Amino acid sequence: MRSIRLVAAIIRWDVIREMRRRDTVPNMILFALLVLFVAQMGIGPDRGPESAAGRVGPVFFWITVLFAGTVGLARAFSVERESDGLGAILTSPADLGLFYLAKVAATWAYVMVMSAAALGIYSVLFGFSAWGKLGLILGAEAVFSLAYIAVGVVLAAMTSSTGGASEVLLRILLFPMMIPIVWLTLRTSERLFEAEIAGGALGPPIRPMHFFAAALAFDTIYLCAGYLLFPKVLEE
Amino acid sequence: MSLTAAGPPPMDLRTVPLPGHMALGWALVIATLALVGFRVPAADVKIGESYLIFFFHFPSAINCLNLFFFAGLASMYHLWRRTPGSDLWAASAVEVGVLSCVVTLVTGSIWAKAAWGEWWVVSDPRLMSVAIMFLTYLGYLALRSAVEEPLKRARFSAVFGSIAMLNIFVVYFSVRIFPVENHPMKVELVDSSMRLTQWFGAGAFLVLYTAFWRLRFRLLCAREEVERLDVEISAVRP
Repeated sequence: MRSIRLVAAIIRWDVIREMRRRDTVPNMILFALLVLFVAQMGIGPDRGPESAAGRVGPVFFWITVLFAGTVGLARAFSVERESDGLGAILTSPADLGLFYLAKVAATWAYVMVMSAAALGIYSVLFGFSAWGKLGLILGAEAVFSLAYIAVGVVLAAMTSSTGGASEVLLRILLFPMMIPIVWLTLRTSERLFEAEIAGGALGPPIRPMHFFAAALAFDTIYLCAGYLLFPKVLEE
Repeated sequence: MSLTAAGPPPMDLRTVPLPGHMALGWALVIATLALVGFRVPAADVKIGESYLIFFFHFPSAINCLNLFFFAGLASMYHLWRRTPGSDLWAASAVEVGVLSCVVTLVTGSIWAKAAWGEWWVVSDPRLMSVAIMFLTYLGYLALRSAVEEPLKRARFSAVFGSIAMLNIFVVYFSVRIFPVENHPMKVELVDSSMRLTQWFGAGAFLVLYTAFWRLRFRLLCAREEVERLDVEISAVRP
């Protein structure tokens, strides 16, 4: 019970700071807007499942969610280091594993706001109309985002202390580990977005329930690994 | 049994002279070439002569997994015990593992072109998972080069090496979870000479890669020593 209160307090502290500074969620949404806007310029005016927008649009959408999410991840620890928040955490008797879980939860909440905004932008720019699948798509966004945030928070804690190249390094470390979950997501997106993606070159589509089971397995493994390894990153 | 009384244990890898180890590795790889040239059938009934590359593709692939697995174990051991040697064993295993992964990907790609008509098949889970593993370990090397402080570098590398180890299981289970028609889960080598050459090659490459591994370990130890001396000299220099 005390642990839950501590996690809730850290999340509240993070959210209040974000509401005051407004430097993570708006930047992520702006980044998502820019990526989707540039992407739609290359696919022509046709819309619908058979068009270029239908075939490659979902690929752009998931890549946008991943790329924009790393903007938030990079900020998660650079803010802590700038304000010496990490020093305060390290000197407190709080379990660093709980701090990790709170950081994951706060970053996940920001990414979910960005993902919902990205879906809105996507529907305008790419002519998305499968609103009957909205719940499934938001669920897919949730499990997809949780996987990369669970790993990304550990990696961001490491790379934020490496100086100038920290953001590039975060992406270099994170993206290869996320390819399996991106691949799974793309293979189920044919059902979610009701479009044939990449001409079927990725293989047969995966049923959404199978995707959720596999993605939740990834999430659980990454969260457990992160909970165990995160304290090792911060200890001096 | 004390080391001074009876000498070091005979199977301790560190006691084998490195030039002899290296020469043995190359000799065994050349012997594998001879086996491929003179012992195994020249062509497979299904895919023709191109199957011969399998005898170099398989040993590199299996040893690449072995090296990354040892790197993961050494990383976890480093997080547990904080011994500097375990970090350097892990780093040198990753360096040689990346080399064997390049050999695996290049030979696999050549084989894919001959057998399937494509250099790269995006729907093949094993091809993709090995490529992902390769990119992940390139990231490991990038992380090591980005962190200058030795203790922090060792700690971060050990954390990343432990997470990256998950890739090995992804590679192993990829074709079992997502079976595809083209990539063989188990290559059917009907002839006994084929099976002999397959496992002889795996052993030969294991000996060669462990020699590379030891060589890189020594170089990393020397580099750490130079860095340490550099810090000491800087401290006493007026």
